[in-house]
Amino acid sequence: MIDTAEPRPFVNAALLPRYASKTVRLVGKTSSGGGAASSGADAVLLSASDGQTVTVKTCGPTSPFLNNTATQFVEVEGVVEADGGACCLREVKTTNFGDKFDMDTHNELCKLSNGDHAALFL
Amino acid sequence: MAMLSDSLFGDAGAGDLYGNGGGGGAAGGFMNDGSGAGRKSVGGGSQGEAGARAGLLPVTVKLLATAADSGSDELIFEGREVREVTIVGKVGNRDEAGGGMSFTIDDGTGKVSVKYFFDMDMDETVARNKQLLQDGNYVRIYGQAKRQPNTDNRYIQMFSMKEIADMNEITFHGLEVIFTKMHLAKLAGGDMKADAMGMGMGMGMGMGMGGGSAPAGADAMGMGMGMQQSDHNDSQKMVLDTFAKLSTGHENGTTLDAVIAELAGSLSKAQVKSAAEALVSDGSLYNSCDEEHFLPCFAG
Repeated sequence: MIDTAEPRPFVNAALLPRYASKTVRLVGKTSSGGGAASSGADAVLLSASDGQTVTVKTCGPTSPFLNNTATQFVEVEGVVEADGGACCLREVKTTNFGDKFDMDTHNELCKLSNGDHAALFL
Repeated sequence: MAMLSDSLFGDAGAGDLYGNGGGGGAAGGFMNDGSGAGRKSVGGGSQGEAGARAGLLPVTVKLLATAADSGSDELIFEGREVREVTIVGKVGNRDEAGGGMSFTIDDGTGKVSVKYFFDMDMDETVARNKQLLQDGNYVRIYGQAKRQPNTDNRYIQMFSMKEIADMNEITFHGLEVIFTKMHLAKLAGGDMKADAMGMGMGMGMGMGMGGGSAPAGADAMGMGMGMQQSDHNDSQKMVLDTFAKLSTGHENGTTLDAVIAELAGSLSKAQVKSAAEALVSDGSLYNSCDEEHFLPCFAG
């Protein structure tokens, strides 16, 4: 069985507008190890692989952002919400990616897998 | 394209490849299908058409879904038979029954079913794999891409797996899929004589990037794109010769530690490891009975 009906592409912040209302995976850096800068109630700020800041609306008590179990790098699987201009991400599930992760290389994968080589991913 | 930094799969990657932990691999030798002897064979088919095979192909679920149908049970990608594949993704829908288990791998491009039949002779490995194959865990699966006869039901029959301890491997796998596709497309469009060795080179460069082998990542990638690396450097030759020498008379070859000891004085441990990694990557060396033992593909 293979199901490719609902891909969840790796994206950086710049790619978010392309996936409004879709589920994506964004690897982000928390502001400091284990914690995340808060942008208000139940939301955190992450630095995406292209260096831009993305607001993540957390999914509730199970969110590693709220119970302080997030590592420095995290993969946030979430739905892209485009409220007016800026896009934010509504967290569905977050996976810890540890404290050592090469964001520059990952950013290249984001660009290639949504660009020239999208046929292999989307 | 940005180059992989040295930190990406530096020593940690080498440690994974030749590490002591983990209880040994399940089935070695899959990287060099058709070129070695005395290993567990994972494919049927004739040996005479090695030129049309893709070796161990790094894939996405999307690639498996779109690979062409050969008319038999095989899938075709860029003109090559897709047989042994490796995929990185999250485990889901785990279901264990009797002598095996089934689960899905979700790599973000889609989900594919994986069937895993337990090898009753390898209780430790099976127990370790079962522990790692938990829903939500990122893993790397090695297996055979299959299609159920007379249907388009595609799945992977797993024969080996490993934990993703360094999440950079997820990035690496994605890039390796792209790289391999480009390489196969280039071969398909040009020099078909490169056949199986061509793929060996492709994998070699792919793993070279990850393995942090002798040249810095930038150089390795540059050479990879140029496809010029067919000869081994001096230290790789020494290491390969030593593996061949120490493997003589030993069905399962010899260990990396034995080669390190043999070459002490000539090459550092790191040099031997890095050379061995490159040799494994280009198909000159392969795991035999477990992750510790290696055999050279070509005697001498």
